Amino acid sequence: MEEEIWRLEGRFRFGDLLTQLLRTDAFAEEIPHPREDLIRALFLPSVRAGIPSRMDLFPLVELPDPLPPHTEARIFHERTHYWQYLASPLLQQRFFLELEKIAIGVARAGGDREQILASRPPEDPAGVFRLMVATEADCSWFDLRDTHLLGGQQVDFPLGTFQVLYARPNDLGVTYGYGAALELPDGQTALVPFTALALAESASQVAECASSGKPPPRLERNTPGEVRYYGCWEYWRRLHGGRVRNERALVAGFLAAVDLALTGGYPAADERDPEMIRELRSIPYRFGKLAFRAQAFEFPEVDEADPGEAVERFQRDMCAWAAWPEPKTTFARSAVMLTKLLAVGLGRRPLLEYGLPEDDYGRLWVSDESNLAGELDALAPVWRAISVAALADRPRPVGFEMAGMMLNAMHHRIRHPGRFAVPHLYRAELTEEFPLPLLLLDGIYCVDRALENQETVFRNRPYVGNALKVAKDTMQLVPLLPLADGADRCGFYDAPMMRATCLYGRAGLGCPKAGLTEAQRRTRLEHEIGDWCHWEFAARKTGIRR
Amino acid sequence: MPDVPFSPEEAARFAEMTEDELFTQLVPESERQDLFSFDGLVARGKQIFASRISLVRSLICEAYNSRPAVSDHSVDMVVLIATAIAGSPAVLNIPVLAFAALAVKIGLAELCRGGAETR
Repeated sequence: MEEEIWRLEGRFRFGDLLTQLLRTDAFAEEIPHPREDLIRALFLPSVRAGIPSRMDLFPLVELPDPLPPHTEARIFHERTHYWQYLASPLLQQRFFLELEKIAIGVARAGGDREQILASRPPEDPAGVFRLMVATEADCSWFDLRDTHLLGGQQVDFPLGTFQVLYARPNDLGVTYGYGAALELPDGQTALVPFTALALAESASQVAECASSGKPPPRLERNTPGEVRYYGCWEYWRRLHGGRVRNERALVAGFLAAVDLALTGGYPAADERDPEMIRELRSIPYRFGKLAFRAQAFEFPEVDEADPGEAVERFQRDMCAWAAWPEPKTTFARSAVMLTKLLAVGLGRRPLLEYGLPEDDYGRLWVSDESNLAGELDALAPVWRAISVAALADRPRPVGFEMAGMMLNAMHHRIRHPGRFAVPHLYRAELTEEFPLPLLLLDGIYCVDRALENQETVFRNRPYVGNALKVAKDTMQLVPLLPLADGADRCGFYDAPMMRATCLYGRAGLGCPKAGLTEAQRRTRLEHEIGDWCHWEFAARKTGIRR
Repeated sequence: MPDVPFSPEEAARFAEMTEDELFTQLVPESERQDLFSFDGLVARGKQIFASRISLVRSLICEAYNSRPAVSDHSVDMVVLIATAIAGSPAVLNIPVLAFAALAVKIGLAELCRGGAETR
């Protein structure tokens, strides 16, 4: 029974950090959740208790421990995505772009955009648009057939293998990037773009296999699924497999290169060379350069005591050769950017009230970011004030806790730059420090089973946040997410399924935003909860018209 | 029945796909930009199919039961079923040919077993 319930697949959303768990047999009879009675007993009383003070209260349950192996592997896959997202500066920017888009949607709906952690001034929607086009060109999965192939370089492999350079038109011009054209055993040719999505999926798949002790997959069929999950790895294997015979090193080299591609770099203030700017900011371009240049490097030997250090050396050497900033420098710059965002989110007055000297606050805005990144310890008073203000429950915008956790991830990476790159080798440590914040299974909200211990939360982090706080942040963000695309519905409403996926939906209380049936209205009246739901809470918090 | 022409070539493309590939076709493009585990896209497609099939079962079975004797070829059946359900609000924003091809692959006889329910 347990095995049946927990045989699941996962889906991680970039926009709100929600992990949705999908039953693999959607045709099965509804199988009750093992904690169904507990959830039902807690849900309605907690909702009712929260309404008078306008609080969004909901029960959270832990995932079973241990999980069946198949599901455990899938959840590790989703954790890997979360870690990629938390710890890769270029992906972090995608998250903040989503927040910017939501903030614009909130303002358009008559609400207060400052309730969303957004850094761009409201008069700069064009800036958001430019960023959106550039980010989506780098992140989205797309077919290389939709691009102009500008050239290719053949790789020595028995089946035809080319690294190709493409130009992809977009609303603002053209994006350049690399991909691969791979001849398959059946004579077909698979086209693989090195987008963030393709790299993130391929790396997670390879890490999942390595974690379960299975050999990484081969690309054998030209189906969208196989190309998406195996394509980038297959290219890497063909390019380097003849030289690097040790598969563990081949895997570590691939994961280190993907991580370095997603990390990116901040161009120097006077950088004008478009080639260098592309190498630092464009994920598909950067990975193509990395893949080819890696032919001149020894791959990390992951058998040593701290394999993360071997990965770090490999990444640092590659950066030095390409004249890129080394990863630690990029993480420090990202930490500065995140600190500023958190300071903006709280506002000057609370920070000063909680002990931040005026000079320290001023330096945050006056000093050059690269200088601040060079002396991160000087930011400690700012981090302390931010943490104390948050512990005192000062009002914070939606997205604040996620930004805090990203700052913590940057802090971890500055101390141990290589570990996030090879998550299968640091699985216990990363799960302990950065568990998934929120998992949704058939309307039930779950937390990852390993919540951080107090030592981790209070001693090793610049921001005193934890996964539970991020879960609450996610719960506020999910309803608002459709606003990013201009849609007027709650993010818990599943349009293709035509039903609310939240606990209200599961409990037969429907979705007030989508319209209630007579029976749902009666049930709500009976339980004295009216139109209250997660959307209602988020709408009141942001002040949007309902 | 709405007059929605589907070309046999187009239908043949879907008829040749595996069930798993067809399930992934049901997932909206915007959702495919999320990060799924390997079989997650298929599971999501199954969810969508399961949520819609009961709403169009009667249309499918009506078309199946009144099919011409010569149209048991799978491509013809895909066109027949797609044409039958195309106007239904239940398949709004769903790729109809993929949905029809799945119904055919799963088995129309199985889907329409129990005549009373289908009318």
